[in-house]
Amino acid sequence: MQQRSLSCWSTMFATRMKKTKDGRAVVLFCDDRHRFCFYRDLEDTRGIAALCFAGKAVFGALIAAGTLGLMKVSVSVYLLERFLSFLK
Amino acid sequence: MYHEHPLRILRYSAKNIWLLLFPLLRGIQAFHFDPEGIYAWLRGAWFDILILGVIIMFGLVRWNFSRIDITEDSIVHREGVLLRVRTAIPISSISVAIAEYPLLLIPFRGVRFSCDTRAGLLKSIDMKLLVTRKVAAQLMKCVPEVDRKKKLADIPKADIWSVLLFSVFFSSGFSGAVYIAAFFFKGGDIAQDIITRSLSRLTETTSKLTFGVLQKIPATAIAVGIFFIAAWLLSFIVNLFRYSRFHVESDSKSLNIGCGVINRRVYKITSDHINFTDLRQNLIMKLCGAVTVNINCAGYGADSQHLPVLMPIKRERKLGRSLEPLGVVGGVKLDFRPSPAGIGSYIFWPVAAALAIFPLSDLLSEFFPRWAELSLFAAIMLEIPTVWLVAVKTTATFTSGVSIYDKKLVIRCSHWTAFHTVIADKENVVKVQIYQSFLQKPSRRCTLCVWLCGETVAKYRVRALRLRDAAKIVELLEHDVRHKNEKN
Repeated sequence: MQQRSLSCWSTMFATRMKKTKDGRAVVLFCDDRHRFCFYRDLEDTRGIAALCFAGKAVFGALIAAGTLGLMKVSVSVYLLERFLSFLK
Repeated sequence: MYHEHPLRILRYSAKNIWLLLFPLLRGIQAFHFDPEGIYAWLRGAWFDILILGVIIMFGLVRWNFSRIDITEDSIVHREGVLLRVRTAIPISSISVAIAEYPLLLIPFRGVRFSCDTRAGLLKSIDMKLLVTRKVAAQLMKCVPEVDRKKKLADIPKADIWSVLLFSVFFSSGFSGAVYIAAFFFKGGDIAQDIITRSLSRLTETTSKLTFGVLQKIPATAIAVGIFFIAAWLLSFIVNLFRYSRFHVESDSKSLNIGCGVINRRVYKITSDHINFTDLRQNLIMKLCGAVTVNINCAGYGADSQHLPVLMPIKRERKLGRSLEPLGVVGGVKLDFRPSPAGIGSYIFWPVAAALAIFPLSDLLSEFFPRWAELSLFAAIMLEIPTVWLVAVKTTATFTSGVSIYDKKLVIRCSHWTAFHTVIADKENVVKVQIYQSFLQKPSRRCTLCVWLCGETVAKYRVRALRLRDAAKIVELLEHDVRHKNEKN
């Protein structure tokens, strides 16, 4: 059996990901001989950053609301307990 | 900077926007032209209208963010609102650029543009856009045009007979059935109603026929037969529309192909990106000396509906040397042929199947006597293609072979019922494999498999070659590799 190393089995295996200097990921599509053909990347990361910030803000707000709610409930329970003991 | 065609808004809006259109249409139908009617209609349909407006607004925003840039050396497409995905294809990498002019889009001056390179996942097209005619013209201009002065003048013309015969040979009942199924699944309730009604009418007619004329053939068999004939006819008509007005022009660097009546398609192909050519034949074509010239190039014939045709049907003798610049060589004598004594490796399985069909049918009838007639009919229907396959494989024994000359490799072989003559550059060979079955071992015969490069690897197999011939072929191909390595 004889096989050449020049060419890979499918172009699918020639597709690879690289990171640019500014940290962006670029998908490089190559042909079966690993020659570059075209690329696809996420051009603008500001959108993602905004989305992450919004996500974090919502998450933070939920945690804050939850904490506040929990505090309110525990205070109410404490006061109720005190009131009930006072009645006794 | 260009935008896509405004019709794209509908696509971007939502995949199932038509689901909302139906309640709206019903509302419009129920609407009466008087002030109170308008008020009542709005009161009833305000929520639908609001949702529709939001969906279209969303589509409009996405369309606005989909932008096409044609730079000096590449085509860049950006899409997405928050996540901006950029696809940049260098013009030098483009193998095929396609402009499709569907009849439905002609009033809107819409064109489907797509381009493909030798890379990408499997056979997918790398860039697909819906653009206006003006933008499509700009995009198509990027790809090198056929030079009118250097045009190859001797390329044979595809006349109406050539297209007609091609449509006859390459239509099948199965593909017709696939069209009907696609219509059934994609067409919604109306299409399902039409098909169901037609099928029930077909069953009624066939039961009448069975009762009156063809009493010995079961009604189901007649219905299946009529269905497949109708499906074949549909496939034939589709093919005829698809390949009519076939036109090829070429110079040494690029190739223009145009075809189709209802959906006119124009292809611009970079000649250097053609991996190999394949002269395809079936048994009838083989007996008549006719061939279909196909090319293997990324993007051309990538969708399952289109075949990568360069010349629909032509007599092999008439091809001459006119297509030589495109890698098509006619009348090549084979240096290495299969040994006629090895006919067994070609026809063993088809003959075994042909002999086994009727005993199996009898056995089935023994167990299920109620299905006896249908099983006999099925056996006859299966026997016909199997005998055909035996004839094809017998012919293949005497016509297959391999030839190597200059930088070209020619393989003549068969795959199922089709004959292939593959002409490729030696450097496009990815892998060569020789293997022997235990039956081939004593007679020193073998099977040679050759894999050729492309977006997906293509495999061609020649059986019953003498072992020393196969070793010689490998040596000749290997010699070329060594030579290449020395050069590098």
